[in-house]
Amino acid sequence: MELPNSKMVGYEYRRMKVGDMERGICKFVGRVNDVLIAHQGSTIDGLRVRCYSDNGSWRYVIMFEVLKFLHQILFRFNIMKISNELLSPSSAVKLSSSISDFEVKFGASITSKLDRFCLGAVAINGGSLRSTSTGQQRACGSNDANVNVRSALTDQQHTCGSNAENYNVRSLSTGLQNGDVRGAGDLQLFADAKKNKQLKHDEKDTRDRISELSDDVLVKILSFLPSEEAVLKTSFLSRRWKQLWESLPVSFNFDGPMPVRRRMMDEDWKREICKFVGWVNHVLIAHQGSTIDELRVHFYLDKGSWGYVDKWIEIAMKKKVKKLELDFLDFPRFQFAYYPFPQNCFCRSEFLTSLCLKHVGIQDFPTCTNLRHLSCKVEIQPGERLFTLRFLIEASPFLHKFTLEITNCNEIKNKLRKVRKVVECSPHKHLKELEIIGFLGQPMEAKFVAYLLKSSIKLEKIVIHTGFLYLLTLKMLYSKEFAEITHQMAHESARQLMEHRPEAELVLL
Amino acid sequence: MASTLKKIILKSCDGKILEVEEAVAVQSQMIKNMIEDDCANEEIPLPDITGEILSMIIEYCKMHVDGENNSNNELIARDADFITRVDLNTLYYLIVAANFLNVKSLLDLTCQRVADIIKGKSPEEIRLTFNIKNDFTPEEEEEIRKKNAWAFDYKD
Repeated sequence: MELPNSKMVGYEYRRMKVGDMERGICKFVGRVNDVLIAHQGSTIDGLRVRCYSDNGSWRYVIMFEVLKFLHQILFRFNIMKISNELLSPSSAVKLSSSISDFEVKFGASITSKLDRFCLGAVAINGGSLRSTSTGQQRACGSNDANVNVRSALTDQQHTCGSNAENYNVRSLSTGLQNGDVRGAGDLQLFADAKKNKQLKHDEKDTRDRISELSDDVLVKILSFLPSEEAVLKTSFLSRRWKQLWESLPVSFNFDGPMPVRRRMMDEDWKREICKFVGWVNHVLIAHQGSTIDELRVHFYLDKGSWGYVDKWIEIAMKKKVKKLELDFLDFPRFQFAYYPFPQNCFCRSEFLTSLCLKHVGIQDFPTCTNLRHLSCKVEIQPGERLFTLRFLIEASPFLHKFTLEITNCNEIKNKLRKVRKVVECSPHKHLKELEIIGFLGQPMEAKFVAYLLKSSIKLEKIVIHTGFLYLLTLKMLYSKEFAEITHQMAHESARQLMEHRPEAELVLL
Repeated sequence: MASTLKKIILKSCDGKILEVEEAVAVQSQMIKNMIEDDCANEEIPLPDITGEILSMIIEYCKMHVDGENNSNNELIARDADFITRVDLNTLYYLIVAANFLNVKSLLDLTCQRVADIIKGKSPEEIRLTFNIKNDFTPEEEEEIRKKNAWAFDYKD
C-alpha cells in the first residue's frame, strides 16, 4: 500500500493547561508514530507535520530515519518551548540523508535560543533547508547544502554551506541589508559551526551524571513526579533506576482506560480493563515502601475484578493509607452492579482520615475512628432509601466534613412537602461541615438532610448544590421550566430545613 | 551587628576564593553548622564544587536573602527564572553541590527541575536526555514491559 502524500495535521492546542497540552502532544506524537511505522510503502513523497512541539517530541524526529526514501519533508512545528537539549547535532545527523526539502516554520514565541536549533541543522546532508521565523536567526548547512534562512522581520537572508569535516564556511549569502550585517551574520555562522564541533566533542564523553547522584537525591526527584509516572518510566530506564521508586512514600493515582474510541468493541474494552487491573496489581505488590499515603482508583470496574480491588484495599490498609478514593464508573453497556464495600478489609482503619466512595454499594460500614473527611456519591434507584446511609455518620464519630452527592433516579416531583417528623438520633459532636450535591428537595432527600442537621450539634456550615444541571441533562424527561421550578423549590426546601439547625451558615448554590 | 557583616570565605575545588556575607552563607545548613561549631573562621574548602557552580549557588542564596521581604510569588518567579537558565550539565553539578552544602530550597528547586524534564517523556526519551545507558538484557526488558503492559500501551 502506498501513501503518497500522507498529510498529518496536528492539533492546535489553545487555552489548555500545560499538563494537558503535554499529554495531548504525547498522544499526537504517538499517533504519528503509529501511522508512520504501520506504513508499508517504500516511499513517502511528502509529509507535513504541524503541531506544537515540546523538546521531548523532537526525539521522534529521529523516527523519520526509517523512511529511507523520504524526498520531501515539510515539517512544521510551532514550537512551544525550546530548551537547551533541543535537536542535538547527533540526532540531526541521523535525520535522513535523502530529505531534499525540509521546511521548518516556527511560531512567534521563539527567542534567542534558536541558535541551538540551527546548530542542529548544520548536520543535515544535502538538500535545502528553509526556515522561517519572525525573529532573527542564523543557520548553516554542511556538505554544500543550501540553507536558506529568512527572517520575516528583518528580512535578512543568510545562505551558506559548510563542509562537515573542517567547517569551512563558504558564504553564499545574499543579504538584503547592508554588507556589515551580512558579515556579522557569517562570522556568527562560523562561530556556531565551531561551537558545533566543540559540542559534538563534548557529547561523546557525556557521562550519565544523573545516575551517579545518590539514592536520596534520585528519590527526591521521583517524589516530584506523579507516582504512576515515576513507576512506569523510571523502573524501565536502567538497573540503577529499577528499584528506586519502590521506596517512595507514595500517593498512587490509578486512572483506568476511558472509552476514547467510540467503536471500541466490548471484548477490546474488557481486555483493556484486564491490562489495567494487572498493572495496578503489579505496582501495588512490587511497592516496597512501608506506607502508602494515598490511593485513588478510578476506572470502569468489571464484576470479574472485584476480588482484585479487595486486594488493593487490603494492601493499602496494611500500609496505613491515609486517603482512599474509590471511583468506579458506570458503564452503560455492561450490566452494572455496585462493587460492594469490602467491610472486612477495614479492620485496621485507624490511619484512614479521608475516604471517598463513588458508585460503591455501601451496605455496611466499619467504625472509622480517625476518619475526618467522608465523601460519597450515590444513586438512588426507585425503591431505595437514602436514609439507610445514616450509618455512615454513626460509624465515624470524629467526622469533620461530610460530602454527599446524590443522583436521584426516581421520578422528580416539584411539589414542596414539609418534613414532618425527624428521626430521633444520638448527637454527632464533631461534624462541622456538610455538603450536599444534587439536592432536589424531594421528600426522601429532605428527610435525610433534616436528620443530618438535627444530629450535627456542632455544625457550622452547610453547602447545598441543587441538582438543577442534572435535571437539565435529562431533557427527555423534564423541561427547562420544570428544572427551574424544581431548583427554586429545592432552595425553599433547604431554607425550611434550616429550622433544625438555625445557628449554622447555609450556602445555597 | 558585627556578626551579621562577618564574611565567610569559601574556596572552590579549582582554587577560586569567594567571600560571602554570613547571612547569605547560612542558607547552607552545612555552613551554618560549621559556623555554630566555630569552624568557619578560616577559608572553607569545598572539594567537589567548581568556582562557577559556587558563584551560581551564592547568587541563588543572595537572591533568597534579599528577597526575604518580597512576596512568595515573586520569589517563585525568580526561582523559575534562575533554574530555566541552567543547562543539564550545570544542573547535575548544582544538585550535587546543593546536596553537599545542604541548601534545601535549592535542592528542591533543582530536583523539581529534573522531574519536570522527565515529565511527559517516554523512557527512551529520558534515556536520551540524560545519557542513561540501558543495561537491561532483552529478557529483563521484556519482563518489565510485560508487567507494565497496560501503562505502556495506554501512555503511548
